[in-house]
Amino acid sequence: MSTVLIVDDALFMRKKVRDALEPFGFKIIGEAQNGKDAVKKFEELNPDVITLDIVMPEMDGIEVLAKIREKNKSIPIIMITAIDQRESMLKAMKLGITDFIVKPFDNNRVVSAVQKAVQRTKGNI
Amino acid sequence: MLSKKDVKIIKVLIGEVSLTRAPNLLQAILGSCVGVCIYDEVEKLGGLAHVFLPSSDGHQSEKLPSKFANIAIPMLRDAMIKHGGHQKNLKAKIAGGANMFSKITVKPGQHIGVLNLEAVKKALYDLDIPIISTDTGGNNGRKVEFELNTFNLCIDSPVSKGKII
Repeated sequence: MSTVLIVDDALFMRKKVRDALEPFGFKIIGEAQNGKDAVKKFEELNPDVITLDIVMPEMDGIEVLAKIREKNKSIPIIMITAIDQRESMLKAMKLGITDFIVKPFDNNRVVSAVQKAVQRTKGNI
Repeated sequence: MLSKKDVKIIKVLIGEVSLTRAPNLLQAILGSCVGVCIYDEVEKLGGLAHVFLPSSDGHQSEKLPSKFANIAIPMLRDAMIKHGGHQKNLKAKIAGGANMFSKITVKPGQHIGVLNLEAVKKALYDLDIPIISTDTGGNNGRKVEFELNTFNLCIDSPVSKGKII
């Protein structure tokens, strides 16, 4: 069973991602509501995949991505973004993301992105 | 070149929703309230909702319904569209949601500022309006000014003087 860490400052959005993934057998190993918590939980929980919101207070998703990539180059990270965050998305792509999901999204898109990320990782082992 | 006389400063008080065009400026003082700026860069149009509480549930006869996130944000969106804004152009910036009274919490970690922020984000998501930037949380109040010329949201607080998002 693949494990997922969900990072988003909005509770309803974390629930939306959780509700999309759990029926497909993914285990939500943790949730983080800010950037600092995300980095801490990534280190503690060692998830298989991370879903990461961009716009968060204090430490945004781009900073979180950079900090995680300093420690781990290969863990799949899926950014969740609004359509107009082009500049942030370019930064994210340079830092290395696996995929991105544009808000508002449907559940199938989340499941498909996480499934592909997991398959790609397994293929690389 | 614009002089100060050309720029009208509109103060948006608790529970109010205001709309204006460039070069005007919308201003609010926020504690646990959330200032929600929705704008259309093409039409040079923008508004600010000064959200005081998350939801109107249980407050049906309220005199100022726009103090609730679930009413104020659709109201502001509708006003934007009515005055020439286009749904596809709409974007949002938000500020506020501080924990001003650290001893008053609904549940651990859940004060009114957090609940306001959650309701604001949900309402914007439901209306398909992307949040471009935020300056939220903390324990300090904020004075915010939304400049319709630049769509900069300028924030003054004890910890972030002159911050622009």
